[in-house]
Amino acid sequence: MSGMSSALPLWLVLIPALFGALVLILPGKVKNGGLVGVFAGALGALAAALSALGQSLEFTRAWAGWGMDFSLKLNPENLPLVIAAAVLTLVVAAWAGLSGAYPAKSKVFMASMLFALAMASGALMANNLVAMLFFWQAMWAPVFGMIQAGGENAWKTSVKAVFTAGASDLLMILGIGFASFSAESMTIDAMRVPATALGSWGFLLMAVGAIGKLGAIPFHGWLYDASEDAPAPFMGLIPGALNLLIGTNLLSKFPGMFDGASSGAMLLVLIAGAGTVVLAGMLSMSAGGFKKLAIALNVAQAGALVLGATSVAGGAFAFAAIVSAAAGCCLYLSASQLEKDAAGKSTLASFAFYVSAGAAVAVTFTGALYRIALYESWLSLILSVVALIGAIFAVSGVTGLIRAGRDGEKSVPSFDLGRAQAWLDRTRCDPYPAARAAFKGYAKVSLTVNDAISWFYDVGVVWFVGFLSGLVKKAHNGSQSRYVLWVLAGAVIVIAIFALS
Amino acid sequence: MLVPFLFIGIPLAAVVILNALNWKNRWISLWAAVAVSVIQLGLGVWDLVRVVSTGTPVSSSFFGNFTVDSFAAIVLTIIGLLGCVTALVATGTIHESRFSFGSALLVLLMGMNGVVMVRDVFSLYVFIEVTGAASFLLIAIDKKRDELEGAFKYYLMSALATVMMLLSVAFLFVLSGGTSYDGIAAYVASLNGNYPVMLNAAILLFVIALSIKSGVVPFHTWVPDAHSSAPSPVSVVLAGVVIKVSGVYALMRVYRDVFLNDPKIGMALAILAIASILVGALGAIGQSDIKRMLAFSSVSQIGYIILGVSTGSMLGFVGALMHFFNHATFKSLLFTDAAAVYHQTGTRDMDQMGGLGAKMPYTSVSSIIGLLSMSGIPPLSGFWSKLVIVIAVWQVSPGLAIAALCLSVLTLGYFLILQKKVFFGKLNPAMDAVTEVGGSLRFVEVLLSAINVLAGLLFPVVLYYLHMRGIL
Repeated sequence: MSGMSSALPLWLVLIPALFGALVLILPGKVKNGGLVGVFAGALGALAAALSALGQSLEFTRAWAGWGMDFSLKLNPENLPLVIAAAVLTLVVAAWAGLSGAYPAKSKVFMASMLFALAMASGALMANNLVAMLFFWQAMWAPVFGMIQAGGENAWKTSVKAVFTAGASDLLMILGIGFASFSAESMTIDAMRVPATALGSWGFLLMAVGAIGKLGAIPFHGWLYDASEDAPAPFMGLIPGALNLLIGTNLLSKFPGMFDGASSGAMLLVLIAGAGTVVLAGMLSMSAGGFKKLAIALNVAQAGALVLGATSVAGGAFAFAAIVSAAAGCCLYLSASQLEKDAAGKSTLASFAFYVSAGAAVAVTFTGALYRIALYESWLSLILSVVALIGAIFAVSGVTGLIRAGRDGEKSVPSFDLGRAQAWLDRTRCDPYPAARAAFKGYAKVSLTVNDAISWFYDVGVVWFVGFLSGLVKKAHNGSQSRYVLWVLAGAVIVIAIFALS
Repeated sequence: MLVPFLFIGIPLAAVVILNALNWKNRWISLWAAVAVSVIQLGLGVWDLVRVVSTGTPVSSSFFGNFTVDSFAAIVLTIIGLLGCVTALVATGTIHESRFSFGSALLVLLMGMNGVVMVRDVFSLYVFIEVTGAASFLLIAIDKKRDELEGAFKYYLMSALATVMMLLSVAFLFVLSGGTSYDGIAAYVASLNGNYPVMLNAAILLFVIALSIKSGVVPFHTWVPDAHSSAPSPVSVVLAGVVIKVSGVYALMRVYRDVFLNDPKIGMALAILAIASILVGALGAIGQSDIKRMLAFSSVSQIGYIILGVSTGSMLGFVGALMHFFNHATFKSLLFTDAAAVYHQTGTRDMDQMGGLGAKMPYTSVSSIIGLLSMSGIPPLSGFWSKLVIVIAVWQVSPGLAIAALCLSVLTLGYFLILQKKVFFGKLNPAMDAVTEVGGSLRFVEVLLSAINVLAGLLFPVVLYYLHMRGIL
């Protein structure tokens, strides 16, 4: 469907970006200037997006040649996602203002929020793979700025975030290369990637990029550090909202872009989705606090989004991303508030937490049920049922924390469900006791898997790179004779290449 | 047409006049270098516009044959920019030997301009030597022990390269009866791939000699020592443009215009390039000296440029030149930041730093821009050059493209280490009194940061233009 030519999609990127630049150059003396700037920028973007309701608009300009066009498309499919991004940025800004959760370097942080919104809007509207990659990767700069604004402890988080998402982004770039090469096009709504081996690799690697952005397992490890070190508004906006929106949006385009991937590639993506839901469900059962539960639920809904968005009717499922983004955003913000406050004090935050937890669980169930209802193959059915079990674990994690708070097992505030809780107890509809009893051992397994993934990023990669780097350092000891030997060795290598080629 | 000769004549005249008049004002030499560089920048842009719009190179045969085609015009512009930046950084950091510094810098400019414009291998050799000699002088300008040692290592490696290059020139002269690019190329083409042993030896010697000059692994060992021991503005110009002109650009010219994209050279360059990307990045990760880290990162980034060159395709050359430009701007920016930090703290040891971001906001933000650009993060310029190189390499060897892409994650590694150790974290109490740099250093930081951002926005337009003109 070709849209009417308009510059509005471009303005949806430019408005928050320009306000972000304005915030950056504001004099430090202007009180609350950053916050006002975020409101103005996000409201401007929201107003521009709302003005496009009911229309299909397109902004395409030749960009770098070879089919790399700067193409943005705004249509009824992605407009709700763009609106959601602006609204959630406003929500996070409002929360930051009301709760006083200003990070130390608030000007940089607030500007980064606007840049992140600009780039996310661009990624949501991009109709060319290189344009999409441009915005997708450009989110790195504001993400880095926001994490660093968290203060002295943000370093570890930055490293993990960069290496985790950096690795998945790299794989996605490869996937884009494979897919574009196979389809001989980079225009998303025009490309049809054939079901060849190269096309299937393109499908798989691009899916890995999207899965990494969603924070699904095994790309979720950095969230634990970030929840402790980075400012809560960062968690609410980036992993909680924008990443879910753009990751799901990309996955939802797969059914249209790929004529069909090999069954192996599709199976791997399904396993990643279902496995994420199950493992995250188990992690939610062993989460000892609100932040950890928020992460587990967010990861669980990321798995469900992978399942739903890659199905034959993925486009329709993209709307679930809006619910999940709202839930994720609210989960992180309220969890941060609850862990800061004394137990039982924040009734409003407790309410917000449990409502958003309920929404996240609902998204998780929906993903699994949606895939079951579509029934594509026996294998997909089995994996969807596995995901459904994971969703039950996720519910158990939530009710388990409620119980722990109520029974005084943990010093966490508990929202009093009153009669509803009594009804749950009486009818035994609360799945927590049964789930806990039945899968105590598996929960341990999930923790072990989680620890192993964390070890890989924290210790394994660092040790390996450090070891190699140490070898290179030792080899450069300043000895001139050694350096001449290097040259001679190099000469031999070059001669050998000449002789062999 | 005199314009190409002006690139040699103006700096030469400036050096002669400055030294003949023997002015006591030591500043004049640095400002003369700034003025000459600005003129060169203007002439370079003018030539670039003219050459690209007409499609024909500009030549002059006054005191030698010099030709400016589109590639040369781009590099001459970059040399002008970097000459200006180096002289400006020197005004803030060089306190002794200012006069000698300015004179040597002018000679360096002349040497590099010659390398870019010549069309015969002997003249290429001569101008590379001029560039090398000026570089030794600049590295050892303050006559300190470290500087002398760095200059000596550079000199020794250069001597090896010199011997090889001269021998190669002699072989080529014997075989083809001349030393002009076109004459040798015609001879090489006439052989239809059946090269005599002497020609193979000449090719090997030239490739190894220019690889030493380029600082690609395993011929890179002089790079970290020379860069880290040199005074700050010299590091800026060495990493920013010298090794790329006397090594990479010369290699690209010889590979393309003389040896006609011989696939054996391409294969050798590709392997050396991947080794450079890997070893340079790993070397950078293990350093605690900020300048040494940046020097190793130059080895890694030069690997990307050589990788683009190794494809032998026009797209690869354009990608290489784009990264040449980017590396010139972001690496100069990072060395300027290092100079600013050293100037204000008195140390290059990153383990003694930390938390300087709050004290030196301009330096901190500009270093983030430089490092993000180097890591290939959009919308900064590094994204486009790496993308074009990867596409060009993909067309020749997908495996190498994948390797280059995967290794780029290591760039992020040393980016984070530098940021953590220098600008973030807890402030070292000993550095409580540190303040931001001002004057020329700050100006250079802002200027180069702006160029990195603007180039990122303009590169796609340039690519589109070249595509539409049928150049790519």
